[in-house]
Amino acid sequence: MDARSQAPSPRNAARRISAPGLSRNALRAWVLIHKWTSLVCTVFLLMLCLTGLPLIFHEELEDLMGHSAPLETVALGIVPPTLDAVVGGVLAQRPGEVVQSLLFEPDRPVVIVATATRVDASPREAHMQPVDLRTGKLAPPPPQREGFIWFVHELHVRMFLGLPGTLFLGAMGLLFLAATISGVVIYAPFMRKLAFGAVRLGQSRRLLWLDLHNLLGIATAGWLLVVGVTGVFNSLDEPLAHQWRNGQLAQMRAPYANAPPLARLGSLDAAVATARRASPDMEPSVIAYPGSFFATPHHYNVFMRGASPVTERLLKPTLVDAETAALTDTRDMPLHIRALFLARPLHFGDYAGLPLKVVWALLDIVAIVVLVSGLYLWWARARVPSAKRADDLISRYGAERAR
Amino acid sequence: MTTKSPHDGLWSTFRTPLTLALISLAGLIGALLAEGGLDLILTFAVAVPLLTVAACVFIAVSRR
Repeated sequence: MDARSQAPSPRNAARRISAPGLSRNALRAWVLIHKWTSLVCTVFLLMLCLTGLPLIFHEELEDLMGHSAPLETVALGIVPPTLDAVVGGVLAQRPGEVVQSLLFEPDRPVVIVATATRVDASPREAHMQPVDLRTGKLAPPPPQREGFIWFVHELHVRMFLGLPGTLFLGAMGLLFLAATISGVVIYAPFMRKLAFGAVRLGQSRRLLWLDLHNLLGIATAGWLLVVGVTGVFNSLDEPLAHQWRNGQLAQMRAPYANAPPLARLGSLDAAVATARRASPDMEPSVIAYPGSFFATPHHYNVFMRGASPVTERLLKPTLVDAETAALTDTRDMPLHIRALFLARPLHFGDYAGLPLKVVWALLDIVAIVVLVSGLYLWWARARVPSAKRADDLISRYGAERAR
Repeated sequence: MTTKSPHDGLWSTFRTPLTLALISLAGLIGALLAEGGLDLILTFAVAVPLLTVAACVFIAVSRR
Protein backbone atom coordinates (compact mmCIF):
# COMPACT_ATOMS: atom_id res chain seq x y z
CA MET A 1 0.00 0.00 0.00
CA ASP A 2 1.29 3.47 -0.85
CA ALA A 3 2.08 5.21 2.38
CA ARG A 4 1.62 8.59 0.77
CA SER A 5 -2.06 7.88 -0.01
CA GLN A 6 -2.52 7.07 3.67
CA ALA A 7 -0.74 10.19 4.86
CA PRO A 8 -2.96 12.17 7.22
CA SER A 9 -3.24 15.93 7.22
CA PRO A 10 -0.63 17.73 9.36
CA ARG A 11 -3.28 18.33 12.01
CA ASN A 12 -4.10 14.63 12.23
CA ALA A 13 -0.43 13.79 12.12
CA ALA A 14 0.26 16.16 14.98
CA ARG A 15 -2.47 14.42 16.97
CA ARG A 16 -0.98 11.04 16.15
CA ILE A 17 2.61 11.91 17.10
CA SER A 18 1.62 13.51 20.36
CA ALA A 19 1.97 10.09 21.99
CA PRO A 20 5.80 10.04 21.97
CA GLY A 21 5.68 13.59 23.29
CA LEU A 22 6.50 15.53 20.12
CA SER A 23 3.76 17.71 18.65
CA ARG A 24 3.77 19.12 15.13
CA ASN A 25 4.88 22.54 16.33
CA ALA A 26 7.52 21.04 18.58
CA LEU A 27 8.96 18.97 15.73
CA ARG A 28 8.98 22.02 13.47
CA ALA A 29 10.80 23.98 16.18
CA TRP A 30 13.41 21.21 16.64
CA VAL A 31 14.00 21.09 12.86
CA LEU A 32 14.55 24.86 12.82
CA ILE A 33 16.84 24.68 15.85
CA HIS A 34 18.88 21.92 14.21
CA LYS A 35 19.11 23.81 10.94
CA TRP A 36 20.13 27.21 12.28
CA THR A 37 22.39 26.16 15.13
CA SER A 38 24.22 23.87 12.70
CA LEU A 39 24.51 26.46 9.96
CA VAL A 40 25.87 29.15 12.27
CA CYS A 41 28.51 26.97 13.91
CA THR A 42 29.49 24.60 11.09
CA VAL A 43 32.34 26.68 9.62
CA PHE A 44 33.90 27.17 13.06
CA LEU A 45 33.34 23.54 14.01
CA LEU A 46 35.00 22.45 10.78
CA MET A 47 37.98 24.64 11.66
CA LEU A 48 38.06 23.18 15.19
CA CYS A 49 37.88 19.59 13.89
CA LEU A 50 40.58 20.17 11.27
CA THR A 51 42.94 21.94 13.66
CA GLY A 52 42.12 19.43 16.41
CA LEU A 53 43.40 16.58 14.27
CA PRO A 54 47.12 17.52 14.43
CA LEU A 55 46.70 18.70 18.02
CA ILE A 56 45.71 15.15 19.06
CA PHE A 57 49.19 14.06 17.95
CA HIS A 58 51.06 17.20 19.04
CA GLU A 59 53.51 15.24 21.21
CA GLU A 60 54.39 12.86 18.38
CA LEU A 61 54.63 15.73 15.89
CA GLU A 62 56.86 17.75 18.21
CA ASP A 63 59.12 14.71 18.63
CA LEU A 64 59.18 14.32 14.86
CA MET A 65 60.14 17.97 14.41
CA GLY A 66 62.87 17.60 17.04
CA HIS A 67 61.30 20.09 19.45
CA SER A 68 61.87 17.91 22.51
CA ALA A 69 65.44 16.67 22.38
CA PRO A 70 66.03 13.25 23.98
CA LEU A 71 67.69 13.32 27.40
CA GLU A 72 71.32 12.34 27.63
CA THR A 73 72.37 9.23 29.55
CA VAL A 74 73.58 10.08 33.04
CA ALA A 75 76.07 8.04 35.09
CA LEU A 76 74.75 6.40 38.24
CA GLY A 77 75.47 8.18 41.49
CA ILE A 78 75.57 11.68 40.04
CA VAL A 79 74.25 14.23 42.53
CA PRO A 80 71.38 16.27 41.04
CA PRO A 81 71.55 20.04 41.46
CA THR A 82 69.24 21.88 43.85
CA LEU A 83 66.31 23.83 42.42
CA ASP A 84 67.98 27.03 43.56
CA ALA A 85 71.03 26.07 41.48
CA VAL A 86 68.81 25.21 38.49
CA VAL A 87 67.11 28.60 38.69
CA GLY A 88 70.47 30.34 39.17
CA GLY A 89 71.80 28.63 36.05
CA VAL A 90 68.84 29.79 33.98
CA LEU A 91 69.00 33.39 35.25
CA ALA A 92 72.72 33.51 34.41
CA GLN A 93 71.71 32.88 30.79
CA ARG A 94 68.87 35.43 30.90
CA PRO A 95 70.35 38.63 32.36
CA GLY A 96 67.80 41.26 33.34
CA GLU A 97 65.01 38.71 33.66
CA VAL A 98 63.24 37.21 36.67
CA VAL A 99 61.62 33.81 37.19
CA GLN A 100 57.84 33.62 36.86
CA SER A 101 57.26 29.91 37.37
CA LEU A 102 58.64 26.39 37.17
CA LEU A 103 56.74 23.63 35.40
CA PHE A 104 57.77 20.03 36.12
CA GLU A 105 57.21 17.69 33.17
CA PRO A 106 55.20 14.68 34.37
CA ASP A 107 56.99 12.01 32.33
CA ARG A 108 60.61 13.19 32.29
CA PRO A 109 63.07 14.61 34.83
CA VAL A 110 62.80 18.01 33.20
CA VAL A 111 61.66 21.33 34.60
CA ILE A 112 60.70 24.26 32.40
CA VAL A 113 61.71 27.58 33.89
CA ALA A 114 59.64 30.54 32.67
CA THR A 115 61.45 33.88 32.84
CA ALA A 116 60.43 37.38 31.77
CA THR A 117 61.48 40.98 32.26
CA ARG A 118 58.79 41.39 34.96
CA VAL A 119 57.40 38.73 37.25
CA ASP A 120 53.83 39.80 36.42
CA ALA A 121 54.39 39.91 32.64
CA SER A 122 51.95 38.06 30.41
CA PRO A 123 52.80 34.36 30.02
CA ARG A 124 53.06 35.01 26.28
CA GLU A 125 56.08 37.25 26.93
CA ALA A 126 57.84 34.54 28.93
CA HIS A 127 60.89 32.62 27.78
CA MET A 128 60.61 28.88 28.45
CA GLN A 129 63.87 27.16 29.33
CA PRO A 130 63.86 23.37 29.81
CA VAL A 131 66.46 22.10 32.28
CA ASP A 132 67.55 18.50 32.98
CA LEU A 133 66.87 18.02 36.70
CA ARG A 134 69.52 15.29 36.97
CA THR A 135 72.40 17.42 35.70
CA GLY A 136 71.17 21.02 35.69
CA LYS A 137 72.09 21.26 32.00
CA LEU A 138 69.99 23.59 29.90
CA ALA A 139 68.23 21.90 26.98
CA PRO A 140 67.53 23.75 23.72
CA PRO A 141 64.27 25.66 24.22
CA PRO A 142 61.40 24.63 21.93
CA PRO A 143 60.24 27.19 19.35
CA GLN A 144 58.03 29.79 21.01
CA ARG A 145 55.17 31.52 19.24
CA GLU A 146 56.20 30.03 15.92
CA GLY A 147 55.92 26.78 14.00
CA PHE A 148 53.08 24.61 12.78
CA ILE A 149 51.86 23.31 16.16
CA TRP A 150 51.80 26.80 17.68
CA PHE A 151 49.86 28.15 14.67
CA VAL A 152 47.31 25.33 14.80
CA HIS A 153 46.95 25.65 18.59
CA GLU A 154 46.39 29.42 18.41
CA LEU A 155 43.78 28.96 15.71
CA HIS A 156 42.04 26.17 17.64
CA VAL A 157 42.01 27.92 21.01
CA ARG A 158 41.91 31.65 20.28
CA MET A 159 41.68 32.24 16.52
CA PHE A 160 44.55 34.73 17.15
CA LEU A 161 42.01 36.98 18.94
CA GLY A 162 42.96 36.39 22.57
CA LEU A 163 40.23 35.88 25.16
CA PRO A 164 37.40 37.22 22.91
CA GLY A 165 38.33 34.55 20.35
CA THR A 166 38.25 31.82 22.99
CA LEU A 167 34.87 32.95 24.32
CA PHE A 168 33.48 33.19 20.79
CA LEU A 169 34.55 29.60 20.11
CA GLY A 170 32.93 28.62 23.42
CA ALA A 171 29.69 30.17 22.16
CA MET A 172 30.03 28.21 18.92
CA GLY A 173 30.49 25.13 21.09
CA LEU A 174 27.17 25.86 22.79
CA LEU A 175 25.48 26.10 19.37
CA PHE A 176 27.12 22.80 18.42
CA LEU A 177 25.66 21.18 21.55
CA ALA A 178 22.23 22.53 20.63
CA ALA A 179 22.69 21.18 17.08
CA THR A 180 23.70 17.74 18.42
CA ILE A 181 20.80 17.51 20.87
CA SER A 182 18.25 18.70 18.30
CA GLY A 183 19.76 16.23 15.82
CA VAL A 184 19.12 13.39 18.26
CA VAL A 185 15.52 14.59 18.75
CA ILE A 186 14.69 14.74 15.03
CA TYR A 187 16.50 11.44 14.42
CA ALA A 188 13.40 9.58 15.64
CA PRO A 189 10.96 10.71 12.92
CA PHE A 190 13.63 10.18 10.27
CA MET A 191 14.16 6.62 11.45
CA ARG A 192 10.52 5.61 11.98
CA LYS A 193 10.63 3.32 8.99
CA LEU A 194 14.25 2.30 9.01
CA ALA A 195 16.22 0.06 11.29
CA PHE A 196 19.37 1.36 12.94
CA GLY A 197 22.27 1.54 10.52
CA ALA A 198 20.22 1.42 7.32
CA VAL A 199 22.19 2.92 4.43
CA ARG A 200 20.16 3.20 1.23
CA LEU A 201 22.61 2.61 -1.58
CA GLY A 202 21.47 2.73 -5.20
CA GLN A 203 18.84 5.41 -4.65
CA SER A 204 19.41 9.15 -4.77
CA ARG A 205 22.71 10.66 -3.63
CA ARG A 206 20.81 12.82 -1.16
CA LEU A 207 19.23 9.78 0.52
CA LEU A 208 22.64 8.12 0.80
CA TRP A 209 24.15 11.18 2.48
CA LEU A 210 21.09 11.58 4.68
CA ASP A 211 21.49 8.00 5.91
CA LEU A 212 25.24 8.44 6.46
CA HIS A 213 24.65 11.76 8.27
CA ASN A 214 22.08 10.10 10.54
CA LEU A 215 24.16 6.97 11.14
CA LEU A 216 27.46 8.73 11.83
CA GLY A 217 25.79 11.43 13.89
CA ILE A 218 23.74 9.15 16.13
CA ALA A 219 26.51 6.55 16.56
CA THR A 220 29.00 9.16 17.74
CA ALA A 221 26.51 11.43 19.55
CA GLY A 222 27.89 10.45 22.97
CA TRP A 223 31.46 11.32 21.99
CA LEU A 224 30.34 14.53 20.24
CA LEU A 225 28.52 15.65 23.39
CA VAL A 226 31.52 14.88 25.62
CA VAL A 227 33.97 16.75 23.37
CA GLY A 228 31.48 19.62 22.94
CA VAL A 229 30.77 20.04 26.65
CA THR A 230 34.46 19.80 27.64
CA GLY A 231 35.37 22.20 24.82
CA VAL A 232 32.90 24.79 26.09
CA PHE A 233 34.21 24.26 29.63
CA ASN A 234 37.81 24.67 28.46
CA SER A 235 36.92 27.96 26.78
CA LEU A 236 36.16 29.30 30.27
CA ASP A 237 39.69 28.46 31.42
CA GLU A 238 40.92 32.06 31.70
CA PRO A 239 37.82 33.57 33.37
CA LEU A 240 37.81 30.67 35.85
CA ALA A 241 41.51 31.26 36.61
CA HIS A 242 40.75 34.91 37.41
CA GLN A 243 37.78 33.88 39.51
CA TRP A 244 39.93 31.39 41.47
CA ARG A 245 42.65 34.00 42.00
CA ASN A 246 40.14 36.54 43.35
CA GLY A 247 38.34 33.91 45.41
CA GLN A 248 40.22 31.04 47.01
CA LEU A 249 43.73 32.46 46.55
CA ALA A 250 42.63 35.80 48.05
CA GLN A 251 41.23 33.93 51.07
CA MET A 252 44.45 31.94 51.49
CA ARG A 253 46.60 35.08 51.48
CA ALA A 254 44.30 37.00 53.84
CA PRO A 255 46.74 36.80 56.83
CA TYR A 256 49.28 38.72 54.71
CA ALA A 257 46.88 41.53 53.74
CA ASN A 258 48.86 44.17 55.67
CA ALA A 259 52.28 42.51 55.54
CA PRO A 260 55.27 44.66 54.48
CA PRO A 261 56.74 43.96 51.04
CA LEU A 262 58.97 40.92 50.65
CA ALA A 263 62.50 41.82 51.84
CA ARG A 264 64.35 38.96 50.15
CA LEU A 265 63.53 35.82 48.24
CA GLY A 266 64.23 32.71 50.34
CA SER A 267 65.27 29.25 49.19
CA LEU A 268 63.05 27.56 46.62
CA ASP A 269 64.22 24.13 47.82
CA ALA A 270 63.12 24.95 51.36
CA ALA A 271 59.70 26.04 50.05
CA VAL A 272 59.30 22.79 48.10
CA ALA A 273 60.34 20.77 51.17
CA THR A 274 57.61 22.56 53.17
CA ALA A 275 55.01 21.77 50.49
CA ARG A 276 56.10 18.11 50.45
CA ARG A 277 55.70 17.91 54.22
CA ALA A 278 52.20 19.39 53.93
CA SER A 279 51.19 16.85 51.23
CA PRO A 280 53.47 13.83 51.67
CA ASP A 281 51.88 11.71 48.94
CA MET A 282 52.12 14.40 46.30
CA GLU A 283 54.77 15.82 43.97
CA PRO A 284 55.31 19.42 42.87
CA SER A 285 53.82 20.14 39.46
CA VAL A 286 54.05 23.92 39.10
CA ILE A 287 55.70 26.57 41.27
CA ALA A 288 54.49 30.15 40.87
CA TYR A 289 56.95 32.80 42.04
CA PRO A 290 55.95 35.64 44.39
CA GLY A 291 54.21 38.43 42.47
CA SER A 292 53.23 36.24 39.53
CA PHE A 293 49.60 35.66 38.50
CA PHE A 294 49.08 32.41 40.41
CA ALA A 295 50.98 33.39 43.56
CA THR A 296 50.84 36.27 46.04
CA PRO A 297 53.44 39.03 46.56
CA HIS A 298 54.69 37.18 49.67
CA HIS A 299 54.49 33.51 48.71
CA TYR A 300 55.71 30.79 46.50
CA ASN A 301 52.62 28.88 45.40
CA VAL A 302 53.63 25.24 45.02
CA PHE A 303 50.93 23.37 43.11
CA MET A 304 51.11 19.72 44.12
CA ARG A 305 49.76 16.79 42.15
CA GLY A 306 48.83 13.27 43.26
CA ALA A 307 50.00 9.90 41.98
CA SER A 308 46.76 8.18 40.92
CA PRO A 309 45.37 8.51 37.37
CA VAL A 310 42.83 11.06 38.59
CA THR A 311 44.78 12.99 41.23
CA GLU A 312 47.80 13.44 38.95
CA ARG A 313 45.55 15.76 36.91
CA LEU A 314 44.37 17.76 39.91
CA LEU A 315 46.49 20.51 41.45
CA LYS A 316 46.57 21.45 45.12
CA PRO A 317 47.85 24.98 45.82
CA THR A 318 50.25 25.34 48.75
CA LEU A 319 51.22 28.84 49.85
CA VAL A 320 54.69 28.95 51.37
CA ASP A 321 56.16 32.15 52.83
CA ALA A 322 58.81 33.13 50.28
CA GLU A 323 61.14 34.53 52.97
CA THR A 324 60.90 32.01 55.82
CA ALA A 325 59.62 28.89 53.94
CA ALA A 326 56.85 28.55 56.55
CA LEU A 327 53.56 27.00 55.44
CA THR A 328 50.75 29.57 55.19
CA ASP A 329 47.89 27.50 53.77
CA THR A 330 47.09 24.54 51.52
CA ARG A 331 43.66 23.59 50.20
CA ASP A 332 41.97 21.47 47.59
CA MET A 333 40.76 23.57 44.69
CA PRO A 334 37.01 24.24 44.31
CA LEU A 335 34.93 21.56 42.60
CA HIS A 336 34.43 23.48 39.33
CA ILE A 337 38.19 24.03 38.95
CA ARG A 338 38.84 20.33 39.55
CA ALA A 339 36.15 19.55 36.96
CA LEU A 340 38.03 21.85 34.54
CA PHE A 341 41.26 19.89 35.11
CA LEU A 342 39.42 16.63 34.36
CA ALA A 343 37.67 18.13 31.33
CA ARG A 344 40.97 18.79 29.54
CA PRO A 345 41.95 15.16 28.87
CA LEU A 346 38.36 14.30 27.93
CA HIS A 347 38.54 16.98 25.24
CA PHE A 348 41.97 16.12 23.85
CA GLY A 349 41.89 12.32 24.26
CA ASP A 350 45.54 12.26 25.31
CA TYR A 351 45.24 10.16 28.45
CA ALA A 352 45.51 6.54 27.33
CA GLY A 353 48.37 6.39 24.89
CA LEU A 354 48.57 6.26 21.11
CA PRO A 355 45.65 3.80 20.52
CA LEU A 356 43.16 6.21 22.10
CA LYS A 357 44.67 9.09 20.10
CA VAL A 358 44.08 7.11 16.90
CA VAL A 359 40.45 6.40 17.90
CA TRP A 360 40.06 10.09 18.80
CA ALA A 361 41.37 11.10 15.38
CA LEU A 362 38.94 8.69 13.64
CA LEU A 363 36.04 10.09 15.67
CA ASP A 364 37.22 13.58 14.72
CA ILE A 365 37.15 12.59 11.03
CA VAL A 366 33.62 11.19 11.53
CA ALA A 367 32.61 14.56 13.01
CA ILE A 368 34.01 16.28 9.91
CA VAL A 369 31.94 13.96 7.69
CA VAL A 370 28.82 14.71 9.76
CA LEU A 371 29.41 18.46 9.39
CA VAL A 372 30.11 18.32 5.66
CA SER A 373 27.20 15.98 4.95
CA GLY A 374 24.94 18.27 6.97
CA LEU A 375 26.02 21.21 4.81
CA TYR A 376 25.41 19.15 1.67
CA LEU A 377 21.92 18.12 2.85
CA TRP A 378 21.06 21.75 3.60
CA TRP A 379 22.37 22.85 0.21
CA ALA A 380 20.47 20.07 -1.59
CA ARG A 381 17.17 21.08 -0.02
CA ALA A 382 17.83 24.77 0.42
CA ARG A 383 14.93 25.71 -1.83
CA VAL A 384 12.38 23.70 0.17
CA PRO A 385 11.11 25.72 3.15
CA SER A 386 11.94 24.13 6.49
CA ALA A 387 8.28 24.34 7.58
CA LYS A 388 7.34 22.14 4.62
CA ARG A 389 10.13 19.73 5.52
CA ALA A 390 8.77 19.47 9.03
CA ASP A 391 5.29 18.82 7.58
CA ASP A 392 6.80 16.14 5.33
CA LEU A 393 8.39 14.53 8.34
CA ILE A 394 5.11 14.68 10.24
CA SER A 395 3.22 13.19 7.31
CA ARG A 396 5.74 10.38 6.97
CA TYR A 397 5.77 9.81 10.70
CA GLY A 398 2.01 9.88 10.93
CA ALA A 399 1.58 7.58 7.92
CA GLU A 400 3.83 5.05 9.55
CA ARG A 401 1.80 5.11 12.72
CA ALA A 402 -1.48 5.00 10.76
CA ARG A 403 -0.56 1.75 9.04
CA MET B 1 16.35 -3.01 3.59
CA THR B 2 15.35 -3.65 7.14
CA THR B 3 12.07 -2.12 8.24
CA LYS B 4 10.51 -1.82 11.64
CA SER B 5 7.22 -3.00 12.97
CA PRO B 6 4.64 -0.20 12.98
CA HIS B 7 4.20 -0.79 16.70
CA ASP B 8 7.83 -0.06 17.46
CA GLY B 9 8.29 3.08 19.49
CA LEU B 10 11.06 5.39 20.60
CA TRP B 11 12.82 2.60 22.49
CA SER B 12 13.24 0.64 19.29
CA THR B 13 14.72 3.73 17.60
CA PHE B 14 17.05 4.71 20.37
CA ARG B 15 18.12 1.47 22.05
CA THR B 16 21.12 0.85 19.76
CA PRO B 17 22.38 4.46 19.77
CA LEU B 18 21.93 4.60 23.54
CA THR B 19 23.87 1.36 24.00
CA LEU B 20 26.67 2.65 21.78
CA ALA B 21 26.82 5.93 23.68
CA LEU B 22 26.93 4.15 27.06
CA ILE B 23 29.69 1.76 25.96
CA SER B 24 31.69 4.62 24.51
CA LEU B 25 31.23 6.80 27.60
CA ALA B 26 32.18 3.90 29.88
CA GLY B 27 35.39 3.56 27.86
CA LEU B 28 36.10 7.29 28.01
CA ILE B 29 35.57 7.64 31.74
CA GLY B 30 37.13 4.25 32.54
CA ALA B 31 40.34 5.10 30.68
CA LEU B 32 40.53 8.35 32.63
CA LEU B 33 40.06 6.70 36.01
CA ALA B 34 41.73 3.33 35.61
CA GLU B 35 45.40 2.38 35.89
CA GLY B 36 47.35 1.85 32.67
CA GLY B 37 46.77 -1.91 32.30
CA LEU B 38 43.16 -1.55 31.15
CA ASP B 39 43.82 1.19 28.59
CA LEU B 40 43.59 -1.05 25.53
CA ILE B 41 40.25 -2.63 26.49
CA LEU B 42 38.79 0.76 27.39
CA THR B 43 40.08 2.28 24.14
CA PHE B 44 38.33 -0.55 22.31
CA ALA B 45 35.10 0.41 24.11
CA VAL B 46 35.52 4.00 22.88
CA ALA B 47 35.94 2.64 19.35
CA VAL B 48 32.76 0.49 19.43
CA PRO B 49 30.59 3.18 17.68
CA LEU B 50 33.18 3.41 14.90
CA LEU B 51 33.23 -0.36 14.46
CA THR B 52 29.43 -0.40 14.38
CA VAL B 53 29.34 2.27 11.68
CA ALA B 54 31.92 0.33 9.66
CA ALA B 55 29.84 -2.85 10.02
CA CYS B 56 26.64 -1.08 8.92
CA VAL B 57 28.32 0.36 5.82
CA PHE B 58 29.90 -3.00 5.03
CA ILE B 59 26.53 -4.77 5.28
CA ALA B 60 24.86 -2.15 3.08
CA VAL B 61 27.56 -2.47 0.42
CA SER B 62 27.58 -6.27 0.48
CA ARG B 63 23.75 -6.47 0.18
CA ARG B 64 23.65 -4.17 -2.80
